[in-house]
Order: sequence, then C-alpha cells, then structure tokens
Amino acid sequence: MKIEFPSREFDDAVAAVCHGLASEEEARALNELLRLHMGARDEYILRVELHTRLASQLDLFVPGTVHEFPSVAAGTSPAPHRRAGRKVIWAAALAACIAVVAAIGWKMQRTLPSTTRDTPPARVASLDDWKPSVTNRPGEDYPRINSERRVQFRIKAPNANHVSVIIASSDMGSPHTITRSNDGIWTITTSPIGIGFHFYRVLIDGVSVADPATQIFRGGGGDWLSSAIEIPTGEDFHELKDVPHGEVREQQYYSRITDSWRRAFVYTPPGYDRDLSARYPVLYLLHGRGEDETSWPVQGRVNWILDNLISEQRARPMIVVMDRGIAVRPGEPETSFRQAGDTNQFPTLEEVFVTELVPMIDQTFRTSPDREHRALAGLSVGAAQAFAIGLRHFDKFANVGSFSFAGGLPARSFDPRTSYGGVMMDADAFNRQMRVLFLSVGEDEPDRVLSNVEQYYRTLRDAGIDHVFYESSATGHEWHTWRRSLREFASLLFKN
Amino acid sequence: MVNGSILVMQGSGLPVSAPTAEQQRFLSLFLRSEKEIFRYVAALVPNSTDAEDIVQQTAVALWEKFYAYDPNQPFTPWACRFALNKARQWIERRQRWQALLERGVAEELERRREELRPELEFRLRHLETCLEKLPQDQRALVEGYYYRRSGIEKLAESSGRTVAATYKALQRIRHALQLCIEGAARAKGAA
Repeated sequence: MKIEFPSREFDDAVAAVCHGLASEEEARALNELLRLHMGARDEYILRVELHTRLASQLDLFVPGTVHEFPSVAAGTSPAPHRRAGRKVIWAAALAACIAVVAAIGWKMQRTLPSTTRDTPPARVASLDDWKPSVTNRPGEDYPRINSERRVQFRIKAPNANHVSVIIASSDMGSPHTITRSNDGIWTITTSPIGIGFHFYRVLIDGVSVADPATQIFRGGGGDWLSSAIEIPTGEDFHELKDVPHGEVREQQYYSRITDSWRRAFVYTPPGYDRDLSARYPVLYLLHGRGEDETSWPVQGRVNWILDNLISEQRARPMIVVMDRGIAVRPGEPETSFRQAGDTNQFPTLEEVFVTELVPMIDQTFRTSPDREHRALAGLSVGAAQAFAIGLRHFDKFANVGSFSFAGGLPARSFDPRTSYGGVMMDADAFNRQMRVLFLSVGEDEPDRVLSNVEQYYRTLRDAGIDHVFYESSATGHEWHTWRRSLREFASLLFKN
Repeated sequence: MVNGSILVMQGSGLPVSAPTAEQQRFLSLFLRSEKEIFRYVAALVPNSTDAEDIVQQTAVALWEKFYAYDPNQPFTPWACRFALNKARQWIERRQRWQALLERGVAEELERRREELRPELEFRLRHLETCLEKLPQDQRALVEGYYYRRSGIEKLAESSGRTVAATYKALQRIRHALQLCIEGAARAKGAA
C-alpha cells in the first residue's frame, strides 16, 4: 500500500489515526509518507491538532464560559454543568489514584477503562432500551442489556436476605442498584460493562449458583458451571450467517496414558464430506482455566468464525480440534501443572497430545499430516500450554498461537536461549522453520496479563524472533478477545 | 432500595479519600497543565481514549516523582518529559502505532509541532467561531462525539447513519472546520 499526498487515501488515513482505527498496513504507508514528505507532515500535524483541540478544549462547546479548576473534594457529586461535572470526576479519580499510590506504592491501574468511558460513573439512570442477552434461554427477558452496556438481572429469591451477582473479567464499576419487590423478585442493575462475553454467578445468601435464565457454560475462572451475558460488539465475524457451513463432530478416544475416555470436538470445513480426496491442515485449540472442550465450540463460536472466514476466502479450509486441556494419570492431581519456572509444566497433557490425540486425528480425518499443516493455539493458561507443547515439539507444529498468555512459564523467566527446550537458541534457524508465531492480548486485560504478554513480546523482539502481535481493542480477559484472536491467527495460517 | 454489593473479580474501583495538602498542590499544578499534556501526547497518539490513558499513567508517574519536582521550574515541561516516556512505552506495545511512528517519525512530528506552535495557535483561535458556523446537525454530531463522548454507535443510531458513515461525517466536518479556520486566518493576516 502506498499513500500519495494530497490524496483521498491520505485524508482517510489521517482520519483513521485520529479515531484509532488505522490498520497496520495503513499506518506503515502513512509512516513512509510522513518520513519523506514535509508538506504531508505539516498537514498531518495541523489535522491532528484540530482533532485534539476538539477533544480537549471543552469550553469550545460552551460559548462564553470561563474555564475554572474545581476544588478537589473526594466523593463530590457531579455538578449540574456537564463540563464541570466531568472535571470533578476526573479530579476525584486522580485524587483516589494518588491516595492509593501514596499508601501502598501502587502502580498504574486503569481507573477509567476505555470501554466504559462513554458514560460517566454517576448514579444509575439507565436508558430504557433493554434487550435480552443472546445467551438467555429461549423466552427469557432477563438478563437484559441496554445501549449503555448496563446489564439488568432479575432473580426470584423470596426468602433471601441478600442477593448479588459475581461477574468475571469485567471492568464493572461500583455504581449499581439492587431492588427487591414485595413478591421476592430481586432486580440488579450494573454500571456499564466492557463489550464481549462475560461469565457470571448469582450469590444468594452467600451461596453461589448459576442463573436459571441463561444457558449454562463451563468456565468463569473456577471449576464450575456459569451463566453468561454477551455485551454486543457491533461486529458480525462471529455470528451465524448465510454462508456454507462446516460441522462440529464429537470424537471419543481412549487414552492409555490417563486410562480414561477423552472427548474432542472436531470442526470440519464446508465441503469436507463432498470431496473425499481433499486433505486439510489442522488447528488444535486449547481453552482456559476452569473450562473444557466445550468452550471453543460454544462460547468461542469456532464454527461460525471459520465458516465466515472461509467463505470470505480469508482463511484456508481447515480442520479444528478442540480437546480438554487437562490430562492426568491415575492418581495425579487434577491440575497436572508443575511449578512455575519449569518450561515443561504440562507433561501429561503434552504426552496425550503428541502421542495420542494428534495420531488419532491423523488416522480418523483426512489431514495433511505434517508440521507445516499443523497449528496449536490456546487462551490464557491454554496459551501457556500451546507454547509449552507446540514449541517443545517443533517437529510437529510449525504454527503456534498464544492468546492472553497467563499461567505457565512467566515472561520474567522466559529466556529464548534455553526455554522451551532451547528451540529459539538460533533465531535465524527458528525463523526459517517457524511459519507463524502469534501473540495476542485484549487492550483492557488486567495489568498482570498485559505486562506478561508485553514482556514476552519484548523478549521475542529483542532476540530477533519473528512473530505477530495482535491487540484486541477495548476487550478484557474474555471470549471476544479470543474470538478476534482466532480470526486473526486463522487468517495467517497455512497460506503457502 | 436495598444496598448490596457486586463483586468484581478483576478490575475493581478505587478507594476515594480526601487529598492531603501535598496532593492538593500536585493536583492544582497537574490540572492546570492537563490540557497541554494531553495535546502533547495526542500529537503522537491522536485517538482520544488512548491519549487519556497515557495522560492518566503520566499523572501517576508524576505523583510518584513529585518529591523531585523543583517548584522554581515550570511544571508543564517537566510533566511532558514523563508524558513522552509513557507515550513511548505505550507505543512500543502496539504494533500499528509503532508502524506509524517508527524510523524517526515520532521525533520529527514532535520537533515540527514545536516549530509550528505559533502558527497552530494563530489558526486554531478561530476554531470556536468556525464551530458556531456549522449547520445544526453537524454541530450536534461533533458535540456528541467530542464533548458528550456519546460513543460512535450511539451517535450512528441517533443520526440514522452506519458507524462507518458517522466516522466519515466527522472527517468531513473536521475538513470543513479546517477550511473555515484557514479562511479566517488568511483574512486576519490580510487585514
């Protein structure tokens, strides 16, 4: 891509930068132009400055007002005047932030996450445009979500003294209301929540249960069954569309290592049963902590994402295998994790994958059974497993993806010369053989995940290891980050 | 109404307490410089929400080092040095921003903006007048986006446009404002 100046492409690229929407390709082309063309550079500076003034000089919109700095009083209610109100909120947040830093040496935390910044953290005064969450059971009106991304739950618990809701992975703030009607219906309204898929549990007098109004999902951080809400994203790459569809099959296999039957879900692409001579590359996907083999096909929507990508010719038709990310020998503890710092933390799972699952898939499905046509990726602790297994078995996987790397070998202990069996010791040799090494993270993930992924990224970069880094805009440690990551990763795979 | 709590497993709110005199002094200085720090950051990272995040991170870093601040020196340039560091760290982590600002472009933009500052001030002093000249629907859109921060989806919905068309409309409005500003600056220069 090349951008001329002046041109419509230049206009669009600068606007995209202002709105935070520029693609990497566009950014690179703009960089090339700005580096070489002084006129373009001056024009760029002027346009950005105009945009920035509009965003920062709020008195522009209130003719005749005098800008004054409010006194800082923690807990001050927003003033009637919007501009002053926002200023007080910002000042109070800053004061709070300082108080915490002063008290405990606390480092930067996102106090006003971008996904909730649209709505000031004032008292709940919800817009009345509620729609049921798409995760509800048919006919259930609650939980429901409005255009401010507030969620309203309704729980029937006539004999309860206290009802609340636990939402995992959200940036939900404290303002909310809980009301109880005379007939024992509890209505809970949250402050705005980040986009995407969020597990939740209902807490009734201290007992945590799933909400019977929604479908039930495996996950949510603990080893439990959860309810979930889906905050609309305005995107449709993961929705069911009128395109050719593949199938998700359930494949049982007996594992001698664990002395148990295991189950894998297998996506086969559209046309798999028509052309019986075609062979396909395979992507293996791992889930996160507390989840299981149902997670990718259910909340991950793998089949719809792949159907859509294949239909748009953004991804090659491929088989996707989704197995359980826990494997234990008889008598082993269920976690099967070893101590942090050990690069081989998932030895039983690794053995099951390499000596049982992959051979079973190659024997059962029409795969292209070589490393070039095999990829392994996972999310959260599954990301750590993907690195641990994929990189230690470089002869079997030429593509490895890590979405929101957490758990496993921490970045501070990662040394490309020695970690993962020393596979990256010779960067040039590694780069020649590795097809895609992929890292991703959600922009609004907790700092511990962001900093871990960031440190992995820096270490790889400094070691000269080729890789792709993707940041999912305005999403947290939740499934929409991983759906987008899958979309990006799958689009890169098996291209040659 | 029954008070209760929603437990958040990740990303809880911040405790709020009354600031001390030292914090009050810092806040007073910071709030006076905040707009200029924001513009300094936004010259590199123009997306408002990203720039605000960087300014917030800068605020925390400034407070941590406030003991080293010399009150005889102006606060804003001191703060901007921290802002630049925070912006660089932020950019380093984001591939597409790196792609935009690598190979000396960030430094060149920063240097050139400083050179152009009097010219920018001269032109942008007409911004308020030009805003007032916008047709009502354009004024409402620009106010919704920049002032009320209504969110692009909501603006798109209320104006009956798609999200992409709403971004495009904002682009066209900025272009109209730019033409207006330049016209006003030329007229002023000729007068």
